[in-house]
Amino acid sequence: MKARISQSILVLKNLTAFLPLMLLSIFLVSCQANVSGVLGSHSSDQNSNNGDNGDNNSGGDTQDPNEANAGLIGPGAKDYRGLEATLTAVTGIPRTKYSAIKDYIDQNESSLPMSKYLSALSSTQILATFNLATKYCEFIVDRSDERERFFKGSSFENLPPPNQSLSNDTQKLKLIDFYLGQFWGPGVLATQKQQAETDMMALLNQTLEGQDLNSSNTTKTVLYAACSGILGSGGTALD
Amino acid sequence: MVGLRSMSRIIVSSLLALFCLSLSVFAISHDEAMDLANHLYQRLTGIPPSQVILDQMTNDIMAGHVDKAALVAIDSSDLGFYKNTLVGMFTPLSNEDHDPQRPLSDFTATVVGLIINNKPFNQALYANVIYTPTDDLQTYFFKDPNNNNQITSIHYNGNPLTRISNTTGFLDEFGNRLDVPKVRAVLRTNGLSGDRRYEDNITYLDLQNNVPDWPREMVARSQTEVFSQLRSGRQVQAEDVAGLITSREMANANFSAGTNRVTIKNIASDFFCKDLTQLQDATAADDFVRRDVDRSPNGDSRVYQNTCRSCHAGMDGLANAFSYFDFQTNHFAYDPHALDATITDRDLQGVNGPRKIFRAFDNYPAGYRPVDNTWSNRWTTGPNASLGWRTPPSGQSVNHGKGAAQLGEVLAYTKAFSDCMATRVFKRTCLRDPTPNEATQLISIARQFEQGFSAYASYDASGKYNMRALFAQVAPMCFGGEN
Repeated sequence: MKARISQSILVLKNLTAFLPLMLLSIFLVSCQANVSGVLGSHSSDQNSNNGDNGDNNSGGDTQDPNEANAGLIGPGAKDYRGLEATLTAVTGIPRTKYSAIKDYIDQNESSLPMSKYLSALSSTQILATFNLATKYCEFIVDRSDERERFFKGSSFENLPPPNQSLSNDTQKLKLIDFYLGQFWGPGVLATQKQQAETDMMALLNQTLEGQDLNSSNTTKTVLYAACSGILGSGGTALD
Repeated sequence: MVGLRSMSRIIVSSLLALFCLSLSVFAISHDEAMDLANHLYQRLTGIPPSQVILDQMTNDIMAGHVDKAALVAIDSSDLGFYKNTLVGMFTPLSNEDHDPQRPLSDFTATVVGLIINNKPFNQALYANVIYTPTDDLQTYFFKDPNNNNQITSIHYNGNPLTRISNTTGFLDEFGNRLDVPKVRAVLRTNGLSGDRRYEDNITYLDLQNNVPDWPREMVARSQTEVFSQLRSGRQVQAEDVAGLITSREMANANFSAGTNRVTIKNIASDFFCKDLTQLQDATAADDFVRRDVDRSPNGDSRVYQNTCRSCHAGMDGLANAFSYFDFQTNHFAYDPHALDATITDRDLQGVNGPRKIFRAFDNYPAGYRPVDNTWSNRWTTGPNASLGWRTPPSGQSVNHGKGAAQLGEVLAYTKAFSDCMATRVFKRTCLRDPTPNEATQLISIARQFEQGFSAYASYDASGKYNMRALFAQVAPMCFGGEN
């Protein structure tokens, strides 16, 4: 399995200039989407749509600055417990099932988010979150039993080569939407989904460029890249 | 006539205002409600919702019932509220370093046990309770008195097991091999020489790692029962048991080294949301301040009067409740006779053991010498009367008592405890500090928390001090809508 992953990583290395920016973009976009109804972004309209503090904030100009945040949701990140629970729930892989995952968590526990406050989320923790997600993706994509379980009912269960499964935008969207549905859950707004689809489509196209479209290994590489991009994003890591 | 017209206009205006108000309350689109439901679910459970749950919560929110949507999330079958949110919220309170990454312990397991079973949560400070794995997970050992007290048989689910070896596992009565970690987890609850809870945390580590629905696989036991298994000569008396305060995990924070005064600091911080500095009172009587406190640091008695006394006067009087406890090298110790005997040189040298209470005993010989676990509350008058002391239903005096249980009960019925829990729930749910108006609203909710929220009877959450109901009441404060 390690050899296969190494192959995938080699392909991904060709995208070194592109992928990190893409992933960061997805993280930030989903982050922005996640906090769209929360503290900070409501400052311009907080007088109009906060039902539980209307009495205090009515009158616009006379609003008490101490009450500026009244009724608003503080933006949150999942702490490592929520993160592990989410990754387990959405992938179906318990953290203790495979030593590679358990060892990564044990060895990097201090790098994973400890606080639920988004303001406390560091770049190290974002990176550790992404890396942990990729561990789960390795098993989903590379282990045949896990892949068959996870992709059951989709067209990717048996790793059809890209010329059969990823040859047009409809097929690519099918993969992206499958991941979004599995990883971000049913509560994703259409606008958030569209943005993620656009970003992921670019990632898929870039990943496929110059690759052997008749090879299942290429499909595997795409599955891994897309999995990492979505599972390691703010849609999973924020609440 | 004019009066009638004027009255009509007022009525019509009022009705219009009410209509507009109701529109504003319920004017939330399906997408907005779904987005709120998604955030609320993940905030309360740590994981994404299923489609069924999301739909149910969305409908509740669109109907203006954010509180009920919160209860749907709390009661979801994934148990995320208990396993992720509650454990994450209370773990930092369980240890001296406020480390959020400590594993499940008897402290956090008992928090979860009390809340999932709808027990009044203020019992956390005084009840003779500890949550451990259920009887279904229990394994019983029997010593053979005819064979040098060796372990000869092991029962699992009431049936004898065959031991394969010390380390490789067990066979059940049908010859099926049992999962070793699962067996190991339960052995620790009622282990080789009785309970091993006070030697390590293995029971809870294994419970968390090997029993996915562990919040539902626990049962309440009395701490005295579990304690007494370990040291028959030093059985913990019921009067010295105080819920989480005497859990093994918090005992590590409270009773390691020192003079056990830190217990009061930890209680104030964890359950009153107050630093000790906020509770300073230089006017409190200092007759319980012990002999180890220098009354004239560096030769200046004003330092004691103006600084030391303001904390020690209240703290020392209360800390006497914990005089019999100690925690050394992973080992929870209790000795109800610790203060009985004549003080020896060994005691005065500050060696380990409950007699650490006599540490630096010569600093001020006229100071207080603890003789038992009697405590005295110097905070009921003066500035700390604002903590809201109230006589518990048992009639226990708020001014003095004997042992940790009585003290815990007095602390549990303060307004400060309920106010602190409401604020903690707000911060966990909304992830920010409350505004001044919200803080006032939280105090009102805290008073209702004490009496119970009758509206949640159908959710089995209407009892006094019900934490599920408290989360439900607080959620609408930042997730929008009105109850």
